[in-house]
Amino acid sequence: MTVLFDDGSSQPGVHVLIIGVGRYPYLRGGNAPKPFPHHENMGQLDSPPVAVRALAEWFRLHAGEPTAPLRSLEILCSAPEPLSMQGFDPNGPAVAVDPADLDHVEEAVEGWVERCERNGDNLLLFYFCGHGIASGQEQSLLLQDFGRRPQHPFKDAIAFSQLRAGLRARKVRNQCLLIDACRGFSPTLLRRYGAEYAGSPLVAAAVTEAVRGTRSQVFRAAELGTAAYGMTGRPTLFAQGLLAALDGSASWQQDDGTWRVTTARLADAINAHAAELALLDAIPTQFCDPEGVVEGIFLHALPGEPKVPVHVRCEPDDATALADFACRLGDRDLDHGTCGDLPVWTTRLAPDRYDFVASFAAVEAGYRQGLVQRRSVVPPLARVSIRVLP
Amino acid sequence: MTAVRLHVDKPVSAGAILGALGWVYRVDEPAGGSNRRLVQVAGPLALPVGWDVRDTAPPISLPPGEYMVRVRMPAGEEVVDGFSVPADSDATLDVAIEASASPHEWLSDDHMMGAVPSDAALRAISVPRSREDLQVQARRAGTAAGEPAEARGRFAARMRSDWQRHTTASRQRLAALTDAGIVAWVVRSGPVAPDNNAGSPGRLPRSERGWLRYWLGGIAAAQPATPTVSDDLFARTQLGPWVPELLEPTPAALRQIFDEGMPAGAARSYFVVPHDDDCTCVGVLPLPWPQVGDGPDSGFPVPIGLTVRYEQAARFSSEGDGRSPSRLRATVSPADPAALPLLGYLGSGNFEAADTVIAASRESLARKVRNPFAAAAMAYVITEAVESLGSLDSAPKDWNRWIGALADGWPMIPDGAIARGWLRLQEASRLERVDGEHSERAAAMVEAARADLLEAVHRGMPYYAHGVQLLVEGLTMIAGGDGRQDRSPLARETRAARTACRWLSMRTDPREVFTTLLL
Repeated sequence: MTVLFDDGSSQPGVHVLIIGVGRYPYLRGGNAPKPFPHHENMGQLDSPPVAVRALAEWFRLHAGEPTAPLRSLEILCSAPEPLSMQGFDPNGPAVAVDPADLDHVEEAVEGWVERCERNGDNLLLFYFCGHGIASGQEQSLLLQDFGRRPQHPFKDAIAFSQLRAGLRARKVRNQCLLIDACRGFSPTLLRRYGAEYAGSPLVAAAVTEAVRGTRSQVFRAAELGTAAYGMTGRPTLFAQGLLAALDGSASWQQDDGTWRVTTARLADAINAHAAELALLDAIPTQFCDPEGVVEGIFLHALPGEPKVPVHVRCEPDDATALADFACRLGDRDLDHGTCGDLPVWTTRLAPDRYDFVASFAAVEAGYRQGLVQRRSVVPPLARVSIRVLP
Repeated sequence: MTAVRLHVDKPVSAGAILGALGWVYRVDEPAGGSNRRLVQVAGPLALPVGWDVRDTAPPISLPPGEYMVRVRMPAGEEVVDGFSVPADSDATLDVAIEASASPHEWLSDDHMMGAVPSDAALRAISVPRSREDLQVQARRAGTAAGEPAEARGRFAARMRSDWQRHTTASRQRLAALTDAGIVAWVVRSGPVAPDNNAGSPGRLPRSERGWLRYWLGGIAAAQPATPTVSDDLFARTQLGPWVPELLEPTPAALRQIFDEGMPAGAARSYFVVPHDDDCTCVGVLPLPWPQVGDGPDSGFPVPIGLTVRYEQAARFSSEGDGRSPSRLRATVSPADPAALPLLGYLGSGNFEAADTVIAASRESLARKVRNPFAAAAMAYVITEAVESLGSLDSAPKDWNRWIGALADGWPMIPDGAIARGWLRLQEASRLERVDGEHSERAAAMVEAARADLLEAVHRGMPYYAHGVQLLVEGLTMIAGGDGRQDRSPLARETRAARTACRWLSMRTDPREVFTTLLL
């Protein structure tokens, strides 16, 4: 049980539980003496510990958020080298993070739910990063020791849909569940172990408590049947998108002028970030799949305006590589450049309406200048296409 | 003030549908150009979608200024655009917002429901840039082809060869469907059509075929239907509008079905997509589907479109079992544009501004429950929205009783019973808050909910994937309340039903609006 922070307050706020599993001793590449024979090519993961650290750091940096203050933060992480994190006291010693095995996860969830129930208006925030297996509407989240019991491997997994149903029974109105795991099928495991037990629900559901106006919102990293990707030495795609979303790409301006991040735009922001990475790093695209978003849950207020990524290209596409791009706000030139070796020219701008120009210095380029006027730039991503004529 | 008509440019199979949600913001730019603010001045508004649908857009009055409009499409896509309202203008201002297009016109309804990606997304996947392209581009741009471009090129080349391999396999799989056909089953009739017996836990099936029989029942007729249109990635056919063999499109039949309720002998129909001498998915066909809306064809049955696509490999491949992890996926979409927005919002799980969605189609859906399938979709949206928002202004008057009528009046359809069971669980929760933990009224309400959910299991597979989820969650809650030691027949029946629903849930494709099992 690694509670990095708990202010003990019963005032409304955010209670976070982060679980990352990068080390699976019984799967491919693991060091267990008796590896799990039906590993389905699942092995060790590089990104989850990095994602756990990055998210924990984000919450630590924003713990003083006045409108949604952090009340508690607990993390569990299985990594090749045990993770240690600096506690919230900068002068205190580094804390060794407990591994994400079933015993620790059960204990952590129990404590976390108790903390969340200190106030019915709290936000319960759960993030899991590791292997996942989908079976229709159920998703098993694999914990560190998955495969330790070859006769009952899912004993070391979380049955996520059941966990969600159980959490809906708790007295916490706002629930945001972020699942950063694959949703591939495993006919082999389903045939061998059946559908009855997909994992531990961790939280039992009472009959009537489960349906009081709970906002239970789920954001899965990938669509059913697809993979959620990691990047060596970097947080997962989903975690990168989530961090970008929290930093402003999921924000929208309120009537009082502030920019607020809510869950209403979370999936759009994560998907926009994934699309940006796919375009710029030529990696596979991945789609965040939201569920149960009726009205947005407030997550974070920005101190200023967000910076919005902008992708500018020409139509036809051939002209993009030859163009000099510029961006103007009224009479002011704000930025200019070429696309270099990327398929679009990229810049980052504050939300507003801008003019974009594509011009061609060389006559042999064969295109005339093109212009797009007063194009809106708002989070999460603005795409601008400038039509140019030969 | 200027009358502004906002509409979304996007082809749909009908001329226009009221399907998108829009919010309008005034852009306040104080002197100096700093601290620009967005102030919401309208929304959510139901906006028409289609080609040249400006005449159907309800006008809103706006003073001169700069504005921004944010539009949410049923499948979840968000589009943002800006417009200016000029000073001293009495003319009507038409603002067209451009949403992403579907890959083909014949896939426009599927795209509206979110079942197929946009044309642009497909092109982005299918034409990744090769290393050669990047090098050429880098030279043209006057920069050297550096290491990042090389690394990108390696990825891109691999993605392109993967895509070509997938396209070839997809073409072969879909061509095989042209020979074998997509099979439409008609299952044995009656309100207890499935061969399930939730009261006998010892009789729960042990095989996949046993489970299918448990949920579907026996087959009365089968009709192969071959794709009528296809490309390398998608094949589409139409089924219905009538349940084959059992119904004739006579006025008498219409009256019988849509005014007096489903006759006890009516059938349920399903489709099966064959794959390598086996079947890869089975799903419900909501037939007959009476057209929603107030037009001249309102109430007349329309066909059901069935689109099949071959999906690229998933994460895992089982070493040694030799089966490709790629598989065929099927999507059901009624040829009823007025119902598509509701189905799209239900499928995407995006109930933001559910009031507006319901208000746009309340009259045509709720009145007389002429289309019980569409009404069931609305019932789910109501239960979901009420659960989160507490109330809905635009829900049908006395919607609790209205859902009761849906549950009792259409014994072929499990979804009405599921929606009512869920509402009763909500009511039990409310009563417990009012009366205290040991409320007798709450306990009675839980028992009523139990009866609804067990009745739904007896009726067979829910028509909507959302219903499967509510069924399994509701039964899990009730069984959890019984406790493991409870050996009463009702508790045993509930546990058995929960097991059956869990099997169903673990095969239900959550991306599909209508229940489709991946086998």
